Amino acid sequence: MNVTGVVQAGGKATRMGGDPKGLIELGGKKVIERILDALAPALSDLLIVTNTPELYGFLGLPMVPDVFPDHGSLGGIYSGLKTVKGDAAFTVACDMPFLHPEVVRLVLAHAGEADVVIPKVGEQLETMHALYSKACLPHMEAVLSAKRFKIVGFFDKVRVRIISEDDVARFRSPDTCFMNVNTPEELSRAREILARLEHDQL
Amino acid sequence: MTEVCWVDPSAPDPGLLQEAADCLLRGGLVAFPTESFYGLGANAMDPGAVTRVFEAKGRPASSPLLVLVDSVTMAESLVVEMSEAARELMARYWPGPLTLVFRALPDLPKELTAGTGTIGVRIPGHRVALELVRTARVPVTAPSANPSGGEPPTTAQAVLEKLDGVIDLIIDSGPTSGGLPSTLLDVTTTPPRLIRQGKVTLS
Repeated sequence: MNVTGVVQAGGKATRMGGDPKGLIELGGKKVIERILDALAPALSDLLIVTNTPELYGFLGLPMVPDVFPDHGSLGGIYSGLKTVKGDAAFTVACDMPFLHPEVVRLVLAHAGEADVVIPKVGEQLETMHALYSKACLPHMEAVLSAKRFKIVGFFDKVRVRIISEDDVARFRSPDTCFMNVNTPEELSRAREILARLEHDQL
Repeated sequence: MTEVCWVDPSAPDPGLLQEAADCLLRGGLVAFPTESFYGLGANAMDPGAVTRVFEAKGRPASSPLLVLVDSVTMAESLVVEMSEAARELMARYWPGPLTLVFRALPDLPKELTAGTGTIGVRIPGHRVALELVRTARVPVTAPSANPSGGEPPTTAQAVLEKLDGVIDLIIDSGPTSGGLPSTLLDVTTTPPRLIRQGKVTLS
């Protein structure tokens, strides 16, 4: 199974004014750099999906446009998956500062068992921390052309393997691991979490 | 020159613990065993000693240090308030690897809280760690006893290899269990918020 790590840096303006979310500084690093740090140990092939490549060129990674802008996150996931050369894309959003390499590996470990491998926390499927195989493409297309943008809209057409929150929690609290930084409040919470995580306190 | 002394974890020698406690109270750094790894202890009330912890670890003093206490009373001396929920958690899990994050009293060394206004506190479940704090009668810091970014040590030898000459004393009580550090729970909010999943799984 050949998997590419895909970061969705599409998206529009933030609710924080100024920088796109992935470029916000958190503890001396941009959020997207933290994401790549978490992906790199588990994935040798990485790709950025963005319609503003001028903002992300500094990362030195291949970039492709979101061919379905204004179609929500599904358009970006589709664009990345369509581009990857291998069998599947492990897709994350660009505003998740606390991804954990071992949780990424946990998802990748089940690649090949299903078309979608995805953690579930409570009732929430973590669609922006999931593996999508190429077999999903036609079903994504169908949903997109019907102008339906819910990512889970095609899940009934494919095989889905759930990763339990207990498995995630072995490495990091799921609330932290899948946290998005969308608002000034979340950013300030993220700074606090970072302070606690980064120090190796026993 | 870093001294290493053997302290039997099943029957810690009070005299040796007193020497280690005296070292802490003089502003020294003492590595000691905890439930997971060897920790790097300093008198948490001594800003100079806390600064030395950061220097020994080679880490910028930009993030807070948690502290070990010997009693709820000592914990109370550090924090603004203790909710009923926090007290129930302490009763249930202390001594043990559950660190509770409280609002810190404003007069604590700023090196300790790193400007967060909060402090993580617990009573350690490892007998030697607890006896050390009890003997010193001050809260003791407990980051892992290794340079920042490296593997946390489970033996006194591993501490010595990285921190020989940098710290004053290592209490050798044999290998620690490793694994996860303490669970970090923020009790400044209602309900409390899990910051880090560690050895204790909260039901």
